[in-house]
Amino acid sequence: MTAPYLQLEKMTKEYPGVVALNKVDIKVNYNEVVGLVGENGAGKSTLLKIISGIESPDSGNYFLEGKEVKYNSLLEAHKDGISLVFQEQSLLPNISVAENIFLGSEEKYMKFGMLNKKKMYEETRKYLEMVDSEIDPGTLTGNLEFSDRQMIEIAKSLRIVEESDQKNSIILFDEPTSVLEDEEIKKLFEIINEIKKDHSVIFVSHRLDEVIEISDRVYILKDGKNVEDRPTKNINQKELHNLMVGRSLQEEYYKIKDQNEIDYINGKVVLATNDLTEQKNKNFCDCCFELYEGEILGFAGVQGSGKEQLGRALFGLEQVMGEIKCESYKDIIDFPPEAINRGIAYIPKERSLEGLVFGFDVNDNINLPNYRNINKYGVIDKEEAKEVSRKWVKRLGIKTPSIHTPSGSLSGGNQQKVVLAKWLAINEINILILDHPTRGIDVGAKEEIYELMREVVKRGISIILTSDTLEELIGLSNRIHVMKDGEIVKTFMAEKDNKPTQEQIVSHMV
Amino acid sequence: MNLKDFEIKNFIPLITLFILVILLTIVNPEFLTVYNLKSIFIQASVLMILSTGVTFIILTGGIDLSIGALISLASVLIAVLLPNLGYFAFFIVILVGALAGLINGLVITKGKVPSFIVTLGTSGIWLSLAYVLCNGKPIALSTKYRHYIGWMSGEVFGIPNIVIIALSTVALFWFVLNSTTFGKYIFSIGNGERASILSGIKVNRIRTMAFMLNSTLVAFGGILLFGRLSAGNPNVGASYLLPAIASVIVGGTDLTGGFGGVKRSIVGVFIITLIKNGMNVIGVEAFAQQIVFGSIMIIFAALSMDREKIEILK
Amino acid sequence: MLSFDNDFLKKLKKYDYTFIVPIVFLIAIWVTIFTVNPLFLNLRSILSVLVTAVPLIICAFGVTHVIRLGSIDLSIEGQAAFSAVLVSFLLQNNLNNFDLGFWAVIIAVLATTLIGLLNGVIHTQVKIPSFISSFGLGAIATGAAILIYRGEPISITDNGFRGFFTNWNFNIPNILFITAVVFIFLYYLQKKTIIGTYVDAIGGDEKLTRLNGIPVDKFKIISFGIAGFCYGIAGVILAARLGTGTADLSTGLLLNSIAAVLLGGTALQGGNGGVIRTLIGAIIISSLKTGIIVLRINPYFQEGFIGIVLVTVLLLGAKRGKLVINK
Repeated sequence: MTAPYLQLEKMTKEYPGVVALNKVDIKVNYNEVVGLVGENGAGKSTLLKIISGIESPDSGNYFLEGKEVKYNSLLEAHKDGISLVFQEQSLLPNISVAENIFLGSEEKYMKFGMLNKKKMYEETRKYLEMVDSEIDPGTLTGNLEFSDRQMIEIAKSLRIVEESDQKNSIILFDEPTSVLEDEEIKKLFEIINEIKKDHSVIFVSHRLDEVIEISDRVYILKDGKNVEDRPTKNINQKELHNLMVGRSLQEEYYKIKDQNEIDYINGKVVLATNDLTEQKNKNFCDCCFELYEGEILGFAGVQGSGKEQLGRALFGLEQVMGEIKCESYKDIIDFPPEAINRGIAYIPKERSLEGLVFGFDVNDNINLPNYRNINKYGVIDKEEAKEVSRKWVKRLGIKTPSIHTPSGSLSGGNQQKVVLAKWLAINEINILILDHPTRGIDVGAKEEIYELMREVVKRGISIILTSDTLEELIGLSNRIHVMKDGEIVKTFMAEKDNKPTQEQIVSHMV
Repeated sequence: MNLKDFEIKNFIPLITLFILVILLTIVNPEFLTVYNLKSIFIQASVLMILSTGVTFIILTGGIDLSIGALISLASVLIAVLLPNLGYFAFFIVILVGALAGLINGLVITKGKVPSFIVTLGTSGIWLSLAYVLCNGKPIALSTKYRHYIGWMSGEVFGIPNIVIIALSTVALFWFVLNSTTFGKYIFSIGNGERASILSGIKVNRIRTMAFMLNSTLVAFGGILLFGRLSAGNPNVGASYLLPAIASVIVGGTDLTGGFGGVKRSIVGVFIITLIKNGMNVIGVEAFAQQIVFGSIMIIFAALSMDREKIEILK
Repeated sequence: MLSFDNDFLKKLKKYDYTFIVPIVFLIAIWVTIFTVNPLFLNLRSILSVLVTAVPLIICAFGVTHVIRLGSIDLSIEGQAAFSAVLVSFLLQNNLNNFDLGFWAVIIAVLATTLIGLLNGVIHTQVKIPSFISSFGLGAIATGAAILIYRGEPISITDNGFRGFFTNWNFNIPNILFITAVVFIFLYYLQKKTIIGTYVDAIGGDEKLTRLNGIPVDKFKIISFGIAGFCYGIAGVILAARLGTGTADLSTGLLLNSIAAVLLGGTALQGGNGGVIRTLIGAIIISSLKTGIIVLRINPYFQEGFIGIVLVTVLLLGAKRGKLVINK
């Protein structure tokens, strides 16, 4: 058995509040295509970032062709023939295609500082040919379509492979097919099979059928750890999915027995949308749905399905057309103060940027939307504010030394509770939009939040829930709308005793 | 209370002020006399008012480069209007100030344009107006109308009126900043604009109000300056822009917004005023003041900035 | 940073209106001027207008490089003044015994190039926003300039020097040749060297550029240095034409240079634009000022009008979007 081309052992990487990789092992042989799958947050991106040199691991060993290596930057890894085809693309929009392909390694075409653009363009055409692209090397990259840019991104990696000193190289593909049409995906697979003759590939994708088709072996990651790795000729999609997703639905964890029973025939509809369409980027179109009182309505979908933008639109953060019927109003919501007036609150995904004002203490953060209610002619009633925050710290079990502690020093879970407290403190709020509410929070705190959610809906508050973890969505929701490419394509009932399975939902997501 | 309230670097401005006072007393034993202190406070009065307004702007993360031009405009405008409108002229000039701030605020918020460039543009407009109104030459206030500015030049219990006016204005806005919803929103916007929007704060409105408040204070400063010079002068404002901004930054208000306040800016004002004073005493030319102010502004800006807040610096 | 905003780009693909509109505007201005005052319609008059515009044009070239990065440089007036005063100090003058001839020019331009580099260093290494570092440095430069002549304006008596910058050859002012040389040099830097590529990259998406391993700080410092170089040349020209060295020679250059860059169609956020656009923009500014005089409007309105035009252009070119943060 020959030594592997690339080997990572016990890779560990932590970010504030979450362990992204926990002693992960991965091994890639020469001339092999290795697939990498896992749910969002499983650690795939982090692993790729470490392999490609963008980030350094906290601990672990990285071996390339038997020798230990350590990369401090993308460019260093390039020299050893390791390149990454980015998911969100690393191409710079306002320079030409040729400049992008040779970015960082222009010395070959420079004489006394002057670029020999003619020669650069010639060489660029060579690489563009390899990906079957006829784009003019002088085109401004920003003017091209997503799929063209993806091809150029691949061409760039091919360039890196050729220029490296190594005989063998590796190209990492991070979700390369999400913007490609079928024809182009076929082309991509042809390219990968060509590459395989001399080099290796790591292929990350949500599309399990593609992974199985193109890879020789596949690694499954979950919660930052290795689950298994199998040769792809021995596995099918269903098995792969099960391995990815792992544990079966835990009744206790999601407090399913506490789930509200919703009367969908006579129950009160607290919010309804009609033909809601996002105007600028068409993130979602013609969405119609209803939210019942006391319900937890979940939205499922892959990235780009529009589910997050839909939630944000209900808070006035997106430019939309259509109707939002809430209270006695029908028109769309222009900006957050309007949404708040109608009783809608939004708990954002990006807690540190959008959820909390980081320089403020717990007291100020809890009272921020509330200050306009507790002032006399503009002068804040500081005593009342303190009472409010003390009350909610107690009620939600927020662990903080005092209400004057800076919010930044609280743990992720407690920070999220502060964000919840701030809206629960306002009596008029009866609809909560939760956008990935347990992201970056440890298991214990997650459970507390699930309990809170159950409590809150019992008091008549309704919740719209968006989450990447299907298991969480299924466990918590009364109903689930599945979104795909901006439209609601299917609705699942998720009663206490009759929850849908993840496969059922996934099949409509992709 | 803020995470940063207890860091050592917060005390640097106060320590600097303290050191300056000691140095100046050593060089000039007359420094700590009532007479000299009075004169320092008078010198600092206009700057105190200006920097209070600028504090609000910098707290939201913006800047106003048009204050110099606006002071000039205010001082010329009051000189032109006073003979014709009497006390009503003061009211008009304040209104013009508010209007100028409104224009700044609207272009910045509705146009979504950075404040430094909008205020650069409007500074050209205000200065132009100032020159046009007085035809490029200062307008002296004739003795016939001197009584209109009496309220600025007297004394009450030995304290000059202008100092009382300045200190009360500062105190009022210190209160506004620390105890009203408006003040809270200002800090909120500076600390986390996105979170503020998502908490339902009408950021555009608050920001525009901050610019209006600033310009009103600037116009008021122009009136006070007019009172001290007994003349309206289109060139007078240029020498106030740097000190006003430097005072706020040297006082410790963070350029990225969200931290600082009126108290700090007043410390900054006195540091600047004492440096000016000190330079005169030592005999260093007034010309070199710009060098000193520019340098300490950069140094203190570097010290007070919270770099973790901003990913990309432009 | 919506660089891939497809609607906007599709419009751009059809015709680059940010390039055409300024030209159309310029033509409109001159048509107005000639209509009001047909005597203006001769080569000499037009060239004279261009000649007075030269310091503005060159300063605008300089600040273009900074704006392309997405930063700003408020030190234009200070640096130009410093150069003007320094050069008059070192040339044959009425105040001292220096007589360095063209070495004075070289020293002055070198000095501002160094100040420009320092500007970039302070911004990138001390890590403070460019508007503060340049604001402070500009004040320091102005102070230094004032300190050099200490209140007494320096009169340059070196007639050879002055002549070089005021004479005409082949019926074209020397100064315009100089401007052309500077323009070609900067255009070459922009189009033919890595500097152009990387500056656009940084202005377009700094984070991504850094991710790709490009030494962003180095190229930012270089850009500020190029700007300083330009301000130095402008200062020398100002001193030559007016024959004196004082700190207020450069008054108005800040607002007008930045307005010139923006009017030429370069975006404030950076990532596009260049010396060609700025040249058009600078000529527009000068033409507007000329127009005000020709139309017999109070010349004090010049700055105000430029201010209004600047604000209008900003409003028109504003980004649309709900969560755009602006300070």
